[in-house]
Amino acid sequence: MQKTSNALDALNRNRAYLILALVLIFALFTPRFYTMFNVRSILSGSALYTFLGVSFTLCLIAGHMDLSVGYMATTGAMVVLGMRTNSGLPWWLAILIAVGVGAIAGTINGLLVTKAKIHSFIATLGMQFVLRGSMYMYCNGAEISVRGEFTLTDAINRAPLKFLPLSNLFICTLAVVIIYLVVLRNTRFGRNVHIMGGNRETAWLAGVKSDKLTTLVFTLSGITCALGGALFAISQGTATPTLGEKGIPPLMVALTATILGGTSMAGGKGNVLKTFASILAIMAMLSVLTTRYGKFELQILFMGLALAVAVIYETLRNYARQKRVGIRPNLADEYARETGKTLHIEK
Amino acid sequence: MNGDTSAAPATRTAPLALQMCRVSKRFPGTLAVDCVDFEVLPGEVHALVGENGAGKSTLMKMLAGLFGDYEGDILIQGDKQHLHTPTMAKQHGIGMVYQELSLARSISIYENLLVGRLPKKNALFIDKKKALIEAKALLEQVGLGKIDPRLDVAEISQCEAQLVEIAKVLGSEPSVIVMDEPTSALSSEEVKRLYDIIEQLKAKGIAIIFISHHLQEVFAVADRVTVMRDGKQVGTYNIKDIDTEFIVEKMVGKSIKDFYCTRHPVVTDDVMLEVNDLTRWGFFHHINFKLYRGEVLAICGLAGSGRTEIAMSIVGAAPQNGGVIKIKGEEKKINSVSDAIAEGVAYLTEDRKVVGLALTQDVRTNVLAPIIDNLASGPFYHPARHEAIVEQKIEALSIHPNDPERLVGSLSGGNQQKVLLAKWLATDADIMILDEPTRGVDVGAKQVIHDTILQYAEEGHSVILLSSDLPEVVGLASRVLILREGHLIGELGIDDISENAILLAMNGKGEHVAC
Amino acid sequence: MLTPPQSEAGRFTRTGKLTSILGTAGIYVIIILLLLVGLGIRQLDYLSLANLRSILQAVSLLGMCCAGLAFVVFSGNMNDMSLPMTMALSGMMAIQLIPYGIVVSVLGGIVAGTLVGVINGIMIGKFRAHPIIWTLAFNLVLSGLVRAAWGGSQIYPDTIAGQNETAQATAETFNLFARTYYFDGALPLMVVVMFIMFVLAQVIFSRTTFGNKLRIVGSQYEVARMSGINTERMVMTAFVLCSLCASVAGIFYASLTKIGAYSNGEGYDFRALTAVLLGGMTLAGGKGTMVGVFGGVLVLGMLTNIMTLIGVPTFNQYVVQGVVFLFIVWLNNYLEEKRGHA
Repeated sequence: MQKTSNALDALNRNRAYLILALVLIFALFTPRFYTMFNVRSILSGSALYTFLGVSFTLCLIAGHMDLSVGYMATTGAMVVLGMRTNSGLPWWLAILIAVGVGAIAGTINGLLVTKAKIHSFIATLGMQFVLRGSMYMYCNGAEISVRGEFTLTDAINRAPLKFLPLSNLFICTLAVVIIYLVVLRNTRFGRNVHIMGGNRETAWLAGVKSDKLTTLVFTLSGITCALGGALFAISQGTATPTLGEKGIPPLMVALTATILGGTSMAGGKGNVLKTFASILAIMAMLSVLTTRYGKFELQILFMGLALAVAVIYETLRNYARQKRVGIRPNLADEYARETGKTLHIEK
Repeated sequence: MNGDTSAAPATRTAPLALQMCRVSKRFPGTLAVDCVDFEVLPGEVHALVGENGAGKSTLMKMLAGLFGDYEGDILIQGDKQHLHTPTMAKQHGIGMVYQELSLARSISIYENLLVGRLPKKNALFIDKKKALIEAKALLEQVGLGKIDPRLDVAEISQCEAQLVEIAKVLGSEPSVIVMDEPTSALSSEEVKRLYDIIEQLKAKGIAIIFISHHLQEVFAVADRVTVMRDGKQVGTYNIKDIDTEFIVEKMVGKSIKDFYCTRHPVVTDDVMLEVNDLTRWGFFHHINFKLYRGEVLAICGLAGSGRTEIAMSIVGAAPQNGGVIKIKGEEKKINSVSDAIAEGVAYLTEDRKVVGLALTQDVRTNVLAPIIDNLASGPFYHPARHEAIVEQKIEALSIHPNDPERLVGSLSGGNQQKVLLAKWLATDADIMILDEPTRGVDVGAKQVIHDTILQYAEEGHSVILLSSDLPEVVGLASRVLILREGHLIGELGIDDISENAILLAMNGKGEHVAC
Repeated sequence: MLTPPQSEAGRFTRTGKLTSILGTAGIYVIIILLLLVGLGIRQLDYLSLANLRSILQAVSLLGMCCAGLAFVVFSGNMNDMSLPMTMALSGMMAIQLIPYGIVVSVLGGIVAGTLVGVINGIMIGKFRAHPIIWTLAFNLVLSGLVRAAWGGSQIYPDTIAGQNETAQATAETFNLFARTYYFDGALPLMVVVMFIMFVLAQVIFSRTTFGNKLRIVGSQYEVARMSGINTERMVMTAFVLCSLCASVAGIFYASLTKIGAYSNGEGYDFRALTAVLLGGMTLAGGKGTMVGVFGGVLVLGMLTNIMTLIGVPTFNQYVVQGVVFLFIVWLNNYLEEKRGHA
C-alpha cells in the first residue's frame, strides 16, 4: 500500500518526462514526425516558449506570478530589431539594449511587488498593458523587419552539426535552461529563492533579504524574456507588437508548462528542466495535432485541457490532503487498533 | 518577590553560558518581562516554567533576537552582547528550536539544516557533497542517521521534522539551545529519544533551556528550574530539592485570586448537551460528557490536548468519525456551524483576529453575522433595521466607543473581545462554548466578560469554558473536565476546583475522579 | 505568496464611512474634475446630450461586466480571468441559436455564459482552486472549445439565419438590441440595461442576505465559515453572478458588432478589474460599494473619451490605462498602510 503510493508519487513528480515520453511514442504513429526538418522546427519553435517558461517557473518558485512574460518577450523582440533596423546600431549593442530594457521593466515589476506591496499578479498584469502600449507606440503599430542583411538570422537558424537537428537558436535555449538549472540547484542564490518561496519565516530567520531577492528574481525574469524575444525576432527576421497575444498566447504556454512540470502553485518547489520537458512535450503534441488534423483550434483546446487538468489535479490533491486525519502521534496506535488502518499524520 | 533565588549554581568556576541581567521588555500597556535575572550554566538543562502569559516566551524571544529593543544586559560566555536580529543571536551561539516548525516543507532536509550557511565551492557554487556530509553528521547527532538528507521535509513525519529542527540548531554550533515545547509533536517513544539527545548535548557542555507545560518532562530532564509569573521571576530551584506540588504552588501564586467572583449559578439536573463517544481520529478519541442547565463546565488540558478540536467537531466546523451528540435529550446531526446555531449552540472561537472577527468591518456587521438568516425576510436583509439588537449588546457589554459603525479593527483588544461575545450572545443560544474568552484583554474587559458569562448561565443557559487561564477557570467553573492528549482523563467537582488541583491533574497527578 | 490576500489586521480607519479616499465620494469628485477637463477641451459641446450619451454607451458593456465582477472582487477572489471568453461564448451561442427564435437565442447565450460561472464557482468555491490560475486555465479551455466548435471562424447573425424569413427577422431583432434608443435617441437600451444591472447589484449588495454574507466572506473567509455562513455557496454565487452579467454584456457585444467571434471579449478582464478597483474595491475583498464601482466605470469611460478627444492614439491609451491601474492599486495600498500606522 505504502509502496504503491510512493511509486505513484514518484511518477507524479516526474510527470513532465512521462508526458514527453508518451507524446514521443504517440508521435511514432504520425507520419513525417521524425524527420530532420520537423524535429528541427519543433525544437527551434520551442525556443521562445522555453525562455518564458523558465522565467515563469523562476518567479513561481519564488512565490510570485509574472504575467508580463509574454509582453516582455515582445519588448525584447521589438527593441532589438528597432535598434538594428531603425537606429542602425550593431547587433551586439541592439541585443544589449533589448535585454537592458527587459531588465528595467523586470526591476520595476520587482519594485512594485516589494516596495509598493502590490500583489505580483496585479503588478505584472498592469505592466503587461504598459509594455503592450509602449511597443505599439514604438513601432506605430507596424511590424519591424530586418532589412537587407540576413547574416545573423541565417546564423542563428543554422544547425552547426549537419547530422543533428539542433539549430543555434535551440542550442542557446538549451544553454539558458542548463544555466538556470545549475543556478537554481547549486548556487546560494538559487537555494535562497527556493527557501523564500517555501517559507518566508525560515528565510527571514536565516537572514535572507527577501525584498532584494524578489526584485532580483523579477529582473532576471525580465532579462530572460527579453533575450528570448530578441533571439526569436532575429531568427524570424521580423517582429510584430502582437507577438505576446497572437495564436496560442505565449504566457499560457509558459503557465501550462510550468504547472505540468510540477512547479508548486504555492511556491518553493519547481524544476526548470521539467518545465523544459513539458514545453517540448507541448510543442511535439501541437506538431502531431497539426499533421493529423491540420487545425489550429484543436491546438488551443489541447493546451487548455492540459492546463486545466493539471490545475484540477493539483487542486483536488490539496483538497483531499486537508480532509485527511490525524495530528496527534500518540493516538496513532489506538486508531490502528480500532480500525485496522494506519493514520496519516499531517501538520 | 525575587527572594526565593535559593539555588545557587553548583560551581562558580566556569563562566556562565548565559546570563540575562535585569532584562525587561515593555509592550504598549504591559510589562511582559519585568526585571528578570536569568542564569544558565554550561552543560546544564535549565527548565523555564510558568502559566500562559507569564513571560517565558517573551524572555526567550529576546534571547533569539526577535526584539530589537529590550532593557538590561545579556551576557553570553561572560561577554556582553546586543542581540537585535535573529542572525546576531545565532552568531553569538544562541540556538532556538521553535515550537512552530520553522522548516520549509518543500525544500530538502539538508538545505533546511544548513539554511543561510550552505558551504560554497567557489564564489558561485554550492558544495553539495560537503553539504550532504555535514547534514548527515548533524542528523546522526539526533539519531536520524538513516534518513536521506536529500528528501524534502514534506516527505518525513512530523516527529522526524521536529528532530531535524533540533539538528538544524546544532549546526550553528550553539553554546545555548532553547527548546520551546519540543515534545508537542512527539509520541512518548520519541520523547525518550529526545531525552537521550539532550543527555548527549549536555555531555558536550551545551546549555539547554527547556520550556514545557508538562511538568513531568521537566523533572525528567532538568537540572534546575526557573519559575515565572506575571512577567516576573519567582525563583530558581535545584530540581532535586523540589517536587511537582512545589512548582505548581510557585506558578500559581496567591495574589490574583481576589479578582474573580466566586458566585456560582445554580446547576439543575436538566441535561442540555450530552456527548457520547465523540471521536475524530488522531485528534481526540471517545469523548463522553454531560452539560447541565445553568452550569459552567470547564475543559482543561495542556496546549495541544485537543480542546479546540472537540469544540470544532461539536459545532460542525470540523469532521467527526463517530459519536452521538444529544441536545436537550434529542439526538442531533450537526454538519455545519449554521446547523449548530439553529440548534442553539454557539462557539466563540479562540483567535479573534483570524477566525473570530472581521476586523475590516464595523461592529454591526460583526455582531449580526451569525444571525443574518434569522433576521432576513426571504432573501432580503437590511442590517440597519436591526440596530436595536446591536445597541442593546453594546450597552450590555459596555463596548466603547458605543458606535455600531466603528470598524472593529480600530477597537482595543478588550472591546474586540466584547464584540466577539456580543456576536454570539446575539444568537440567543442555549449552549455557549467559549474558547479562551479573555485572552489578551485588559482587566476591566475581563471583569465585564466574566460577569456576562455568569449572568448568562444564571439565566438558565449552559457554558462550556475552554481556557488556559486557570484563575479564570477556578473563578467561573462549577465542574472541570481534564483533557490529556485527546482523552478525557478526569473530573473535578465544584469543591475540588483549585489551580493547584487542575495543574496537578493535567500533569497526571493529584486526586480527581477518573472518567 | 500566491494565496489570495487576506485582509490584514491593523489596516482600518476609525469609522466605516471613510474607508477609502477613492471610495464612493472620491470617485465622483474625480468625475466632476474630468467633466471640467472635458469642458476645457471641447467647451459646452462636451456636456451635449450626444457626447454624454456616447460616453455612457461606450462604457455600458464594461459597466455590465463590472456589475458582476464586483461580486468576485468583493468576495476576495481577485479577478475572473475567464471574463473575455464568457462574453465571447455567450455572444456566439446567442447568434448560433437565432434560427430557433429570439427567446431561445438570448436564453441560450445567457445559460452558456452562466455555466462558465458555475464551473468556476465549483472549482474555486468548493475545491479552493487558485482563482487566478484556474480562471486563466479555464479561459484557455473555453477559447479552445469555442474555436474548435466554430472551426475558428467568425459567425454573423444574417448568415446564420440563412434564407428562412422568420430567422432573418429574428436576426434583425438581435441586431437591434444594441441599436434601440428611447426618448428620441437620448437613451440607448444598453445603458438602460447597465443601469438596471447596477441597481439590482446594489440591492443585492446591501439589502440581501447574500450581499451581507459575502461582505464577511470577503473580509475574512474563516470568520465567515465560523459564523455559520455557507462560504462555499457564497463564492460560487459570486462567480455565477459575474458570469451572468458578462454573458449579458457578451450578447450586446455580439449584437453591436453583428459578429460572433472568439475575440469578442478581449481585454475586458483587465479593463473591468481596473474600473472595479478605481471604484474603491480592494483586492483583499469585503470593501467598496456598487455606487463606487459605477463611478469607476464612468471615470474609465471618460478618461478614454477625453484621450480620444485630444487625439491620443489607441496604443498610447493602453500605456495610460496600465499606468493608471498600477497607480490606483499603489495608492490604495499606500493609504491603507498609512491609516494602519496612524
